[in-house]
Amino acid sequence: MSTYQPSRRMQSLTVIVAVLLFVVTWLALATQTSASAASAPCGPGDANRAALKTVHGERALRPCLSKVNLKLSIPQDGLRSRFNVKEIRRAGQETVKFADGSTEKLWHLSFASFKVLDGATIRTTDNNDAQVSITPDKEASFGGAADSGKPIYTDVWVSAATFRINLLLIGCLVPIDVSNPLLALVTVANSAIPNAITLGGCAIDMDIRYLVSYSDDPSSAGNYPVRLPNTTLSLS
Amino acid sequence: MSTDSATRATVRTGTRWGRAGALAAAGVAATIGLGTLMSQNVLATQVTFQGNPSQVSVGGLTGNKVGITVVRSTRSVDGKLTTGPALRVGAAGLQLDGLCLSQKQSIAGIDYTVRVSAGDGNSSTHEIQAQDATFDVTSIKGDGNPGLNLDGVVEIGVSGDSLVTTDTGGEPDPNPLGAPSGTGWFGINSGVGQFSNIRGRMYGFKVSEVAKMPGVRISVTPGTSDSCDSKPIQH
Amino acid sequence: MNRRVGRLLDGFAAFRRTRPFWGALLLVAAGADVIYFAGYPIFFAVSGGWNSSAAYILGGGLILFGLVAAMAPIHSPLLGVLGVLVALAAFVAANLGGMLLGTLLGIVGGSMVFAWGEKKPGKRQSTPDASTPAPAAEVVGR
Repeated sequence: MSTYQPSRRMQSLTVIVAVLLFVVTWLALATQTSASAASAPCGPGDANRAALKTVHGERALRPCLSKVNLKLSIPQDGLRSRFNVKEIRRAGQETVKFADGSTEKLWHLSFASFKVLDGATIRTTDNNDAQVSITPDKEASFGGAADSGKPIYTDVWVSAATFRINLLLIGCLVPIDVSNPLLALVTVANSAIPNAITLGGCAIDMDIRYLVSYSDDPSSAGNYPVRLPNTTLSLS
Repeated sequence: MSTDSATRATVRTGTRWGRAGALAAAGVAATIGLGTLMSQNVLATQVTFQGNPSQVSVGGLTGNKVGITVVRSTRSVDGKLTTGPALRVGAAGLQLDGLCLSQKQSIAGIDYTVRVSAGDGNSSTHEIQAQDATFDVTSIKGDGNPGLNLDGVVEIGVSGDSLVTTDTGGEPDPNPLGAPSGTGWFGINSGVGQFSNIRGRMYGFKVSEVAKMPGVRISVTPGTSDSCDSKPIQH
Repeated sequence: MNRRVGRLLDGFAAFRRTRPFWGALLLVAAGADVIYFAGYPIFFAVSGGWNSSAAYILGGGLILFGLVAAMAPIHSPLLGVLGVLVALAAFVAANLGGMLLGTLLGIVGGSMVFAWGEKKPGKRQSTPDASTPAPAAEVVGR
């Protein structure tokens, strides 16, 4: 029997080494999975989160921003209204921090009941690997009215934006840049008579870095601020 | 050989079947026990799937704490694992109204379709329930109104690795969708997502807990005609 | 030539008889099965951070304990129990233990390794190898 077997000591040693090897690999796997789960998503100690406040209700937001540009554009089609909105407010320019710690000066706008009627393309332009498209066949609302009729607000932080709005006799003929003082005027008008009128618009172009939809109601469930009927979400 | 024969005469070695049977029976009993616990969700089973693109259709889907982002997803193409971008949709809780999943397979040049369907046929119930689910798609279409709805506070443009879906003891789990870290990975986060009449191409899914899945049927049919795309949406 | 083959077969038979050969072989097969299914497109595991590397480690463990059982037969009771435990762990953590097959092979193999040892002499002295699996090769070889 012994001619075919290693010595007793050798056998014991083999078993000890094998069991140790197995236990060590096992522990290595266990610690590896728990270590990778511990890292904060937004820089060391989550320090790179942006500190933002919504226009309505001053809701504090601490998003970790991807720095990806989402372009919402509705090209002009004659003088037809292609979107409508109950109010547009320009809160000013804010320095916003991204996940990598870099910052950018962005315009902070707030809309009430922003509704796309048709012709919108919504697409990321600089995401890694592939772009995300949100393609409604026609209508889409970003903060339309809630089921209760209460308005839902949409705040956006944009690097650039132009509008063609049916307002103040200029109609859709003149594009208004986000930096245009006219937009401040719109803001004033809106503040004076909030939600009184619905503005129609012919065209819009926004480079969105961050969009948040919310209602005044803190629970804010059951309102579906973002409604995308007949919509394709795709990657290309 | 004579020495060997002598050894054999004094000590005969081999499997002592009585003892072996006792341990094997205990092992098999333990396996059945574990299997029962898994099927009753005492032990939460995680199912992941990566593979050739599958067709998927769902009558209705309601997700709690929904995140959507772009990930690098591993998929198998012709038996080789490759990595490509995919849109990953994740939810802490998921309720489905009907499900159909089909995949074309070919063995020795013959195509056949494997189709898994589930549901109670009633479009007013969300009978399939699961926890911590993610699925990788390249395109998903929600037909009708509502098509794709997002509820609660909806944030668009957040970083994929900062999305909040599942939690452990009230603390949100870090990077529940397994998104690549750093900037440049677009994400959408919302309190509730409600999608209806979905059709899409799916590359993979992960479900941590399937609580209820009535009416499961699996069929294997020669050819490619028995796919989910050729069937009306399951409810 | 015939003689040499015969000697080889005798040697192999002796090798086989001095260690839990068949049990160890089943453990190795169980490990190979678990590892094969680690890369399978569909993967089942108990939730909580398990992934396919668990399958590689558990499959590797089954192969390791199978090989060690062949090298260190005097510790076969311990190795057999470890093999069964790893096979059970694979059922939970590694794709239902390689779609059940790996776990079953591991349980049977581990139990055989566990129960390997000296048999009670007696009863069937006249056909000494009848109870050990596949001794026929030796007879044919001779």
